[in-house]
Amino acid sequence: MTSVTVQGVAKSFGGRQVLEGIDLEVPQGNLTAVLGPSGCGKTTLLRIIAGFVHPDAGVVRLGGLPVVGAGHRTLPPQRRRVGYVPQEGALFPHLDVRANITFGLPRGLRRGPRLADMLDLVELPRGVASRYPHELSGGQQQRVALARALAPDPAVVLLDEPFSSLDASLREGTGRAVARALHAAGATAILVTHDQGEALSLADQVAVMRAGRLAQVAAPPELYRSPADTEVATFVGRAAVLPGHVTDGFAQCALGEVVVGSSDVRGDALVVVRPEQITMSSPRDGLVEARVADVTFYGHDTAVHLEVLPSGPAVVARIFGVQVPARGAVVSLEVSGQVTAFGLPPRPLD
Amino acid sequence: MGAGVAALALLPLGFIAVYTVTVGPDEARELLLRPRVGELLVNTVRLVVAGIALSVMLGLGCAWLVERTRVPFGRVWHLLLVAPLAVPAFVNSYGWVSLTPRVEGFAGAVLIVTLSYFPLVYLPVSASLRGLDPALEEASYSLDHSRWWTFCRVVLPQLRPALLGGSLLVGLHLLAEFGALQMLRFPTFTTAIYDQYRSSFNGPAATMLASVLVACCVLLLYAELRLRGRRRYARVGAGVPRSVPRHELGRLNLLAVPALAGLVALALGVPLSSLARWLVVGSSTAFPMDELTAAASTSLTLGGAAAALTVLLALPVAWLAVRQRDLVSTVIERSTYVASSLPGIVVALALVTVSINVAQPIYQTFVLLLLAYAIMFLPRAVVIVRAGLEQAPPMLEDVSHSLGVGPLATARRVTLPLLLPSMGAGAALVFLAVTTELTATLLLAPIETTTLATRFWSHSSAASYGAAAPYALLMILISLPATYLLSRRPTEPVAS
Repeated sequence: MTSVTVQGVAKSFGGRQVLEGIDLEVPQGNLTAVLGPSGCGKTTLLRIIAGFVHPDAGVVRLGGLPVVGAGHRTLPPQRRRVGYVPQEGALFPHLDVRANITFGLPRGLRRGPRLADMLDLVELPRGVASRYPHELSGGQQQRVALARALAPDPAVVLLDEPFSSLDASLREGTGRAVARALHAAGATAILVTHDQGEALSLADQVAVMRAGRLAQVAAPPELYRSPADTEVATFVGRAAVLPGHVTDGFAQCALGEVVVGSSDVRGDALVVVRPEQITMSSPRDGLVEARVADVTFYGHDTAVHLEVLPSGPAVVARIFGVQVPARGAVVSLEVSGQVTAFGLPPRPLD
Repeated sequence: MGAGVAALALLPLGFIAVYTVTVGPDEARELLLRPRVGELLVNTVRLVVAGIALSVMLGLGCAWLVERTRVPFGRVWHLLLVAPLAVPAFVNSYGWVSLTPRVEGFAGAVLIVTLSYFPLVYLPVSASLRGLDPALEEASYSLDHSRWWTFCRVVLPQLRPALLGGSLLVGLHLLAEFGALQMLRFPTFTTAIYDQYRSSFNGPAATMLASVLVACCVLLLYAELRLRGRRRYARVGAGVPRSVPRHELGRLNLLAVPALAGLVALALGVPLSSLARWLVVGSSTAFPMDELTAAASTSLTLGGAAAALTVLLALPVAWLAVRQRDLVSTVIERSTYVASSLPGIVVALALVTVSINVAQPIYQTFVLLLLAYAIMFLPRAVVIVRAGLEQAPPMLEDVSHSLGVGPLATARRVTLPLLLPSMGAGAALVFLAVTTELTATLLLAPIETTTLATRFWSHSSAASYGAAAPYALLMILISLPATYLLSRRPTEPVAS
């Protein structure tokens, strides 16, 4: 297994810039998620690494060896040892599961033990080997597609929105199984997704992509705790972005005085508050008050939509347990823990 | 590669263009502005318009009944509705004319050519109806739209490519039809060109007529191109779509079944029973076994070789049309269509002229005849191979490459197996066309070589209906396997 290095990759289609100055380092054995809204260029990046698309500029290295760019001869896809799991699996419809999985193996190995190993790895029963793709469920098709990609022992595995066509109930289980199989195989993998929950829960590293550029590359907890800007903050998890003023590590905002985490921001700023940082209590003097506008009960937790009184911004608090406030009730708010603040350019003088 | 095929297909057209130019504007005007030409134009246009309209009505109606309702014996009707393809139009008209001379003239001509060619609309439309996603119709019903409204606004637009493609094929066939119309004494440009060549060997006059015919064909192609638009129809989904729920006909079966039965009786019953009658009672009936086997084996060999050659030539053209959709590939695809609307005799004479001048060794050989067949029947193979290719998304090839499989092995292991069913269907269609081809065969076949079609023609045009009958019967018999292949549903398992 090998690392993947992408440096300064750019691509445009018919005059439209799809990718610009992409730098990404995926260490050996790492599962990196490329997270972004549809149309941000993440699939194009994957197809460039796989070798299906030629970049206009930049270098792609697999295990330190350039496969495209840097003045080297471009390596065709079939010589890169890159496994590819496309959207909806794209299994060969004319071949059964056995022939699909062993497709990339040399003829002599197609009858060997590799098929059973692969089925075990993706947690499918051996009995499916003789079925045809149209006889499988969506989740099974996806697992067969992964087994097919892993069978020739690729250097890198690329997954393009592999779970987007699955039911919500299947998605999580299939995602876990795929991540387990990738780790068990020790594979270096890049997963493209628009689902932030999927990216945060499955990946070792998340690269947030926006309009053809990478906005931030970080481990999931760091990404959530210290987003690079307010857009990343609201894209990765829910957040209230409130205008405020920072002095000496404290910010004054619509939710009162909050502690700003390690930051050298001073003056006018935007303050990012996560829903689970907001706690509610019965009205008390000296605290910010809010009215409960709506309550959304999810079972494991509850989202409480609040309007800060008298005419403040709308924020969301997430609380656990079954004790939920009634709609229309007035509560006091406090912010626990540290928040992230982003400095604003100084306002021009009137 | 695609360009080479297009150049071959455009050879006859080039021949006509060169001739037209050498004739000069004055003589061209003199040859074209005649009452006779006007009469031929009116005949040709009304035959094409009426033939297409009737074929669309019959093809669409039957496809809907067989695919979307619970009409009894659906599978049997499907086979019977494809079967007229196995009965050549000139055998069909022989069946009718030998029964009653009242079918001569416009109405009879429209009736008989429609009965022969409506399966060309029925086949693609029924295939499309099978492939439609029922969710779209359900969405329309859930919006409180009626069945009729849903059919017109949801189903019909999705059938448009199939309807237009089928109509184009019918139109091109009618422009090139010779045998049936000659027998029915309904003159069009094609029969007039044949007469012109045969009677006076008047090259320029016949070629001028052919140039008008080519103009009609170009107009038809342009209309289809404009109406079809540039949408893509590749379906990249998981598994197969749900099967479509069928309508319960109830008492309407009392109308539907007799209607289908009546159509089958007219399209198959009349020619076949008439053929049977001539086989049994015809005074001139004889079974010269030697001649029959010789003609049959020639027909089989020619059909098989031409089918293989044509499908091979169709591959690059279809590939360009699907995978590289731009002006050049559209021009290449369309230029292969142009040739097929030329009557076989024009293709044949173009090849005769060209081969005598630049390729003497292949003159009067099977090679030249096979080339003529390939030029004439390329569109049939292209249309079907193209549809098959649209079902094979390029993503599958990408995946194959990423698994370490090179381009050649990918073609062998992925693309070709996915294309085989449509290549088989294309080959079957070309085989059918070649075994019943008449005019080009009459002109290009090496001396002393006869096929079932040419034997049948020489007997029936001499009014020895009984002597012609065994040849027609054999022609139909060797067409049957190919027709059966065509009637098979493309969704049937293709894997081992």
